[in-house]
Amino acid sequence: MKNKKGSRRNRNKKSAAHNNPQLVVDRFTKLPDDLLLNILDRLNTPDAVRTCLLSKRTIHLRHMLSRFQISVDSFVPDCGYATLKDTIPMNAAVADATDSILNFRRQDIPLRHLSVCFYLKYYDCLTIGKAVARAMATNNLLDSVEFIILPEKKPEHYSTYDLRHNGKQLMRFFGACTDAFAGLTRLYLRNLKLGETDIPNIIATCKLLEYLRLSFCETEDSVLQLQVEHPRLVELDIYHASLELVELNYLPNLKHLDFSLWVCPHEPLSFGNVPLLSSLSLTNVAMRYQEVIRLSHFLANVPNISDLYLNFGSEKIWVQPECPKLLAPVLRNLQVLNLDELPEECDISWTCFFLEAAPSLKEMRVTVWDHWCGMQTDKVEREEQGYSEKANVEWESSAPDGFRHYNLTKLTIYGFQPNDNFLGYIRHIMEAAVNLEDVSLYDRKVLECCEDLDLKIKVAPSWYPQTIEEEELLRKQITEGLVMASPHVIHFRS
Amino acid sequence: MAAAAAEATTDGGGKMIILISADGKRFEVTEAVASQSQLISNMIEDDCTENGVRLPNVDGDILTMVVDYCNMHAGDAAAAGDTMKASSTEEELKKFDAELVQALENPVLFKLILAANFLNIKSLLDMTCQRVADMMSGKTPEQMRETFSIENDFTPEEEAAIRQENAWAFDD
Repeated sequence: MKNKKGSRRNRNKKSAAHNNPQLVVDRFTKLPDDLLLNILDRLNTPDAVRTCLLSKRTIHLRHMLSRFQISVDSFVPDCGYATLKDTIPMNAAVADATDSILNFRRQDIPLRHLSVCFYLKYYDCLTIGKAVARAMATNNLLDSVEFIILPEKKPEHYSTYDLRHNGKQLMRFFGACTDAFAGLTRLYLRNLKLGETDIPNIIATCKLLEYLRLSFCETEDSVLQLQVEHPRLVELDIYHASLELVELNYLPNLKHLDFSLWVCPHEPLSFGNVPLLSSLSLTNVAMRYQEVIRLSHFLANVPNISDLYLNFGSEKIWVQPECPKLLAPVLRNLQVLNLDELPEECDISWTCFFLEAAPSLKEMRVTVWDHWCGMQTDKVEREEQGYSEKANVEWESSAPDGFRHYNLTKLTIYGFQPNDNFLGYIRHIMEAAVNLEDVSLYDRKVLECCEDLDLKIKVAPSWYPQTIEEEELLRKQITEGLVMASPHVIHFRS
Repeated sequence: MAAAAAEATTDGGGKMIILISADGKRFEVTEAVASQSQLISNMIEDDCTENGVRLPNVDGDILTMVVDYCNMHAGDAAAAGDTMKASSTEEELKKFDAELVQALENPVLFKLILAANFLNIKSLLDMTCQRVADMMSGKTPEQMRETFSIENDFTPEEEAAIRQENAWAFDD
């Protein structure tokens, strides 16, 4: 995000706008305070304060804002990016602004939302931590209080030494400002290597936490397990923790769990007391040595999953197709299923095992995509790290003849190609799902990150239909001979 | 005549009321449409809309926009029962709102904010205030002044003091 600062304040009152008689009336500052505040509270705090400082009429409003939202992003230099050196003044500006605005704001006006995004530099952290703790003690009603704590360097430049240094800095900050941490409702930590008891300590101290994201937060290598217990946590997001096992022992309010990239050969999570968990998102690039997961066992303790997202990183399929008899007890409440980044050129019919075992399923989304820019393409590296070769998942339907699914209304496929693999799959689902209302077919995804593709990598051309005639032909092909299915539900949306 | 109109009913069975702008323009709308304004909704409850509702601080051209907006959004609650219908209506509404808001410029934008505030139509007030915020966001103070014709009424001494106090907000 780019944001400009006020270095070139225009002192010439005859600016362009003033030459235009239509615009000459300043209606903004004539608005009553409550409307000005309504507008200002929609801006991030640096923009809101700079606006207040424009005239005598509005200057007092900077102490009356009910949202405080500030990020180092607001202080990125005009060139649009920040070097390591720039992070020093950027972070100092966040610390100064936090200190001054929170100190002088009117305490009779409730502060509803407080969010600070800053780099892990100890003395700035200290200023921010103390100011936030004071604000918590003196202001009434804080609906949400958030810290987003960033590493100084770009993540790819980190050595273990750096990560350990970051971890120590964080714990020093944490130790000095436990009162601020104790009032947080949202916390986002990134790129740290922490001691054995640090994460449990943070979780125990942040008593009000509702959202926690740990991204590349490793623990010392001797630590293999993490036990999580928290009475209020609603959303937990763990990305690359390098642990053998995360035990979710007691999280009575947890509704959403996002867990990505595990290295252990077996199930990476154990579910204890998590009665409200309904949305689960798992992402892994599985290696040869990693066992496939049997969901009937893995999810045995969380029977209320209604929203399931599984991402395979264009590599090995790490779930085991199972028969409905085993699987139905854990998938009986499943309503939305999203299978992301399935490897291209592999049979996708195995995914039907979800349909057979999840009678409440309403919506199914399948993305078939070799996302090259995120994949390891070097043959030697692949072999050494234990990547698998492409292989079809063996699956045989165990549903009775004439199986019908009554709740599925929407099927979406990204990466559709008009070959037997997809046509047969869609046909099979359209035959079974008698209440299907919408089949949306998209071409392969292309993201910004894919634009600088290595020329050595050859991507097969897409055969996605280009003309209405081709689309019509495919509709016919898919639905030919199906009595119940209507070709009109099929939409080509790319 | 206004009283007669107030008794009239539409095909949908809603009672009609008359809104009268500052410059005397009259708008006939159903109660359901008008009650998106909390102000008018309260007046309907208190039974004081018989002779039309005079809105002395809303001009006719602004009231036209408000009535259009309310007509468009009156279906919100009614369509909610039918999922398919609701989703298509929702798309239409989004498009309508986006077009309305994009077209809004100084000074109509500010007149509409004041009207939405006076009539107490929260969704319209949110939308118009957000538009002003979007127009301010990411701009330098100089650009903000130009966009909204805000004069610098500080003396050089006052300005120097402000810059010193809020050094973090400025480059130098």
